[in-house]
Amino acid sequence: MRECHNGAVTDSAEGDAHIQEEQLVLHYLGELDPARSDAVHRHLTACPRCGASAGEIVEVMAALTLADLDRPPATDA
Amino acid sequence: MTFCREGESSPGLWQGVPVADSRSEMMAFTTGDEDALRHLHQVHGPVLLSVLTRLLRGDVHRAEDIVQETMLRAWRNPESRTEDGKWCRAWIFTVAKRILIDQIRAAGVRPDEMGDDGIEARAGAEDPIDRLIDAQEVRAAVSELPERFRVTLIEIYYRQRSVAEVAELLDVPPGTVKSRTFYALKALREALGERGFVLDPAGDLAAH
Repeated sequence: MRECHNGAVTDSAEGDAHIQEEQLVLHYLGELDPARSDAVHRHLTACPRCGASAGEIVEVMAALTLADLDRPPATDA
Repeated sequence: MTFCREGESSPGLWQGVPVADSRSEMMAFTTGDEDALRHLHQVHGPVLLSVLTRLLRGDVHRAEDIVQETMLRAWRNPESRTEDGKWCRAWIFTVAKRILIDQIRAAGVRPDEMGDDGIEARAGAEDPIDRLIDAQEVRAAVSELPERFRVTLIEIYYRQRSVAEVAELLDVPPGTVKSRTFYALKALREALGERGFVLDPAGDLAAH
């Protein structure tokens, strides 16, 4: 079980440190390599603080997607 | 080049996206497939689940079912990935939307009857999704973002260009693209909050 009690803020997804929000954004954009995304994901499952930050990013991205889903498909008969 | 769909300035997810064949012909998973599928779930699963949960008025279990089906179809269909192997966001969300619409039509219910909280139907909407969400607030909020934020968001999120591509396009360092994306999302979140857009749909999000 990963903990993040040391409070260090770093851009590393490894170890115990929290994940910078910018890294979380890159994670959900698919911009991190899979191994790094996997480390981010594992950290999120164990760290409520980073999980909350991730949830906020996810919600805004979901809103962006909803804004686009609203447009009817040109090819949908 | 990571473009995975056609499009000019306006984000339109729909052109030229084929519907995946969902006939089940189970193929043997290789380690590479497992890795790719896990990556797909980790990166796109949370946003997809949030979108579907909102569309399904908080029915997170049904949303999860559609996420699973979408991921399976993505795994089976080579068109779900860009030339450089990245999962294509537009493809994924388009297929998820089709699955949802098919379910709505198969159930023979109008989407505005699915929830129990009296969703306001929009007259004349042909697309069931139209009835389920109000995207106007989001589009208005995006349009009011400072231009450098708005342009960055459109390129990196809707067009799914890479950080490197956006950096080249806008002639700024990659670090600037990253920070603009971050601050654009932050600004958008605040703007949506001010507009009364409820950002926290019923259901479990992300990594809670």
